[in-house]
Amino acid sequence: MAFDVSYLHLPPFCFEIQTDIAAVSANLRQIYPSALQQEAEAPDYFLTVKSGSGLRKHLRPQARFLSDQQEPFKPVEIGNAFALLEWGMNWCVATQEMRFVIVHAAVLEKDGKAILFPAPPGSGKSTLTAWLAFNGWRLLSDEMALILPGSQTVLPFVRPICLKNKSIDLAKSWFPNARFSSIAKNTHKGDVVHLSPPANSWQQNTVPAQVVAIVFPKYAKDQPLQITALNQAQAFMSLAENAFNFSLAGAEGFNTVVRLVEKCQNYEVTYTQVSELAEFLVEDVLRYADI
Amino acid sequence: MYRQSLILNDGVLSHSLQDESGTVFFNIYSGETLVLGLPLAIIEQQLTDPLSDLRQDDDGMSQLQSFISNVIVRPQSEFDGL
Repeated sequence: MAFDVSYLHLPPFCFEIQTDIAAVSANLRQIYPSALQQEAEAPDYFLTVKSGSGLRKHLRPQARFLSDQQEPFKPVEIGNAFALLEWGMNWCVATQEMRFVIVHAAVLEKDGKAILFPAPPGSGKSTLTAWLAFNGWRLLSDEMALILPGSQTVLPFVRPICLKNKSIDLAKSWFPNARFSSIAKNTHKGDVVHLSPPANSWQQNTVPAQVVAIVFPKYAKDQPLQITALNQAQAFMSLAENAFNFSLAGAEGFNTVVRLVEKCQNYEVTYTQVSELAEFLVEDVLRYADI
Repeated sequence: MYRQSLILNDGVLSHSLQDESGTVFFNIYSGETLVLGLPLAIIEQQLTDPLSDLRQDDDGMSQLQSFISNVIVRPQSEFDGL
């Protein structure tokens, strides 16, 4: 297959994507129906996802990811090529963007008020993100919060939601008409599917929001909702652990993280029912948050 | 009103959190952070008068002293010509 060249307009960035893998092109069209275009003035990143060459191409087909001819990851099974591209885009932004303080967190907004959900893998963050995004909240990001230094302003970086393992079937039962990617099997995260966010998130993908709360979520089976208010020292430690470039951003990064924990409500929550957690977020967090 | 962090020395920023739950320190060269569960005023008192009757956190104070002493403040001349 010849190389297919397209452009993903994902404010605040633009990616040029070259691929010779048909499944990657198909998934791009499936997941990014409005962001995928045939031309761009000035892409920020030049990415290639291509099939491996040589004998291996026939014995055990693989996909390779390159960013400006740099290859940061080992090749993966060809069936996981689209997931490789998604992780590659994350890698580009997380390692190269110094205009923002970047926090590993989902970001969702309602009435102009945004909540950061920083969480390690396995905490149910993406399942929570998917539910909220399809139930009246606007998704700004599933993976990384782009905070303008010295402020509480978070910019959208709208991308698909990365669902893993059991959450895949759950999300497909919740949102049968949503747009899902093909499945990437047996990745280092298990089975992975990407879910395209609802139209309102794409339509407002240049509209920033003000962060009013930081919620560290943790899913636990058959548990009542447990809410713990964090003091600012606890919140700082937890947020700093999830800030990709905080230590590189110097005093500006430090002051931005300090500002966030001082200006926001900070909670740790353990939940089973997403709807119960959502009610707490609306009735007890957003209602009393000023912007 | 947001207060800018105080500069403890040339290489360390410190900030006493508004809710008085602690003070955060940041090594501007290495990016390392330290959080102590004491307000900055008490920490400063501890640093200058270790025998004072104020709240003490011996482990935290030795961590802080180690944190500060590890900050290598390079003279400006080292950066000339870079």
